[in-house]
Amino acid sequence: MRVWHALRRLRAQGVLGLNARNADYLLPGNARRLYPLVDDKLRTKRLAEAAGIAVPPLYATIGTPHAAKMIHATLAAWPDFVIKPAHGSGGDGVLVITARTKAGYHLIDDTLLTPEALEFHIHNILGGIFSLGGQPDKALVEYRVRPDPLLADITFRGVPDIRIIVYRGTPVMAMLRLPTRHSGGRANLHQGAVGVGIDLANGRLLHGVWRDARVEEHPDTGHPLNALTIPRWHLLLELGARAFELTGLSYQGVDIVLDQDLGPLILELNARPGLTIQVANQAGLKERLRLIDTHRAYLAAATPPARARFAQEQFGIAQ
Amino acid sequence: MKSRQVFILAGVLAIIGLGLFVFKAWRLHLPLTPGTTTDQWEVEVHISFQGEAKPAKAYLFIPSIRNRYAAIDHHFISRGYGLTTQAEGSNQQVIFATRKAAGEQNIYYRFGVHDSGRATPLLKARAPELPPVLWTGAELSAAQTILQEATAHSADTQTLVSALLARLNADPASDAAHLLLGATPTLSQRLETAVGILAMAKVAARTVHGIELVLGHKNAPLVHWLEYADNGHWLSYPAQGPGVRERWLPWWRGPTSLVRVSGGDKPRANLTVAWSPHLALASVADVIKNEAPLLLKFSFFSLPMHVQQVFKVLLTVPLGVLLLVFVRNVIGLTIFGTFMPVLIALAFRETHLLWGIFLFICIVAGGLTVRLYFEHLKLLVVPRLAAILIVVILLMAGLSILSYAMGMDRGWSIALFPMVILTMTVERLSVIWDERGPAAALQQAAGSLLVAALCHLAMSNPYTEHVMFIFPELLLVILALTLLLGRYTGYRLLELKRFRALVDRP
Repeated sequence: MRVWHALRRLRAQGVLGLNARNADYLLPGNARRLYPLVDDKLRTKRLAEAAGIAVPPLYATIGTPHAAKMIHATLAAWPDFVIKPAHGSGGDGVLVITARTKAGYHLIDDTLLTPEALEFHIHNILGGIFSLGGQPDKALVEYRVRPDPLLADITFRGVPDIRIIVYRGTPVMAMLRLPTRHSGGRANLHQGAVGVGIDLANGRLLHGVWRDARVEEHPDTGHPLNALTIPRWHLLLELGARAFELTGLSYQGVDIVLDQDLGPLILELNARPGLTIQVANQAGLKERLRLIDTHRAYLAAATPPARARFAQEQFGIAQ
Repeated sequence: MKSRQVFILAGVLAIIGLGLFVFKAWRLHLPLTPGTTTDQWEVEVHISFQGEAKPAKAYLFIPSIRNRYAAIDHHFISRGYGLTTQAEGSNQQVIFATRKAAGEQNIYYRFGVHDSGRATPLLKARAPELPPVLWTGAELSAAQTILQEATAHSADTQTLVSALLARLNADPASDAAHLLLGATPTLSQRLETAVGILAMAKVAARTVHGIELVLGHKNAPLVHWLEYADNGHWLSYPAQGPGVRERWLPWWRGPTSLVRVSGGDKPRANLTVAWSPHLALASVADVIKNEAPLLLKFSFFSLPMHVQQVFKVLLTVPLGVLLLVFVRNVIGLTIFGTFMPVLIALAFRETHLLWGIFLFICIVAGGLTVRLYFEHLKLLVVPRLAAILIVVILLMAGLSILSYAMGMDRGWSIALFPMVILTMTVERLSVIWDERGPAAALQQAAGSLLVAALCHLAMSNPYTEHVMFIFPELLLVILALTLLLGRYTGYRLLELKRFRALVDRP
């Protein structure tokens, strides 16, 4: 009985499930050959740079065990940086190093990593432990984003980011992802980050979701989640819309960070974005996706700013 | 558009598969269930004799089995011999004949017996012939003496037979019995003598020879008993113990021995009785042979036995895979590796379920412990995986030997676990352990094990095995269902829980 009730409720709200996402949007819209563009973060970065979109600057690419040994010299110029697997997913294998001392490397959660341990982690990345399918991988070392102080009250360490689902080049739904103590500084929901829905019309924060349940305050800092509005929101939506021209993926997730010095940066693109964003927005995706399908002729001809405007007009929450 | 194609394709596949299935099940009457396999036996007669480099003939009785017992699948292996069958009295006889038999000759005759367990109705005795009296002189009067004594101590035919056999079996034998039977009479000699004496009393009787169907009998002894005509029916008389026993299979009747050889020396016949679990399928093959010979040619029954055994297992795999697809895409459980549970389930065939789960837990737990220790050694990825593989094999070997030494005969079967799959399971488990914590890792491991157990129950039960083997066209139906699941865009069961914040929304 409860199962039927739940089914009816979800269907009534147009909630998109994994099977429907895969069968109706990913398989028909995202051509297989386009996946490497987003699965390889190095290629994404190059594409974005070529298109004049801001990304966190790349310090080094490590592809061999020898280069892994040399890392301490290679990175001598930068006191802090982020190491991530080029083919990682879901934030696995990402190390955020905030400082280096004689003792070693300090991670964002205040643990200390010896130089050997850092090399070992890179070896693991190279061996493909974090990559999809386990194929050998590269490690990227890049600029550590300094989060905009705007969100400091509702962030527990780490860097919050904004995930925008973009369908046919049009933003559909957005969510702010906030690291918690539980997520270890990472902004991935399945690792325990908080997701907060965003009103697409104006960037106002809505509801929070933490481990599949609704929350109204940040679980670590206790500050209310819905008190803020993200400034220059239309610029972020435009950035998301432009990601379509980068990859050609019809359905993708765009992750944007707000750096206090560099402004909005595209952190990565995701060809299989998760669905919990619907819980954070307390709304289903299906209706919005259908609306885009009906206007697809107009949207195919529209520029990214026009598509972002379309999203602001159509998908805002009525006051 | 694509959905419609999938529906049409699935529909066509399902119709073909179900159509063939219905045809075979209802028109050809192929059994839908495997039947009980415990009452099937395989009997082999091995005849050997020395050829004398001249024409030779071997006579062998074959059982004309009816009623309770059904003979299936007769095979003769007799290189260089022509073969004819003929009726001999109430018996069926095969004659193996060859122009020239030199040196050791071997003839094999094999058949299966199915015991339906039904009570056998009495055989009708239509005007049975009485054998002529064989004895003269002293022997004749000895026989008459025994008959007179037995008649005096009996009221009807049954008690007459009983009294007569009591006298012939008496130890020490009476003078008259000694005269008729000689010093060391065999049981069949006593019975033949009884038949002769009963003929003098105008009671038709005959000896019956057969075998006892018991588990694994090399050099199975023949058993003998007596049948006599009473009120138009053949009744059995206990020749040994109280009544003709359960599972005595009547083979031939009369005084002749099972095998006779002309043109050869030192004939010997050796009987083997074995319990055979495969015959349930062989009987299906017989049905197909009679009903649709072409079908037999293009069925698994035309393949050699060991290949058939492989296919019996193989054909159940799609069922496990279908279950897996259901668990992943309709229920939404996350499990290790795409088909890992199916492969583990195949290993469970040999280890059996509980023991298999125990072994799996032992190996994975042991491997994980070592893997967590390896974490400190900072090994490179490929050598580390290789090291875990070696540890897994060591654990398997150790567990095998240990359990065997402790007298658990299933322990060795651990060798059938897919070691590479186990290695990857250990590695993935430890990565998840590291990244998401022990709870998530154990949850996924338990889920995978649960699915493996379900797959095992679906795949390794005798009904599925039987049905998939006899009706392989059902694979088309499974394919159709899998295609349909490939276009299932509804919610997964666990998503209902994941989205509960939307369900409970005011």
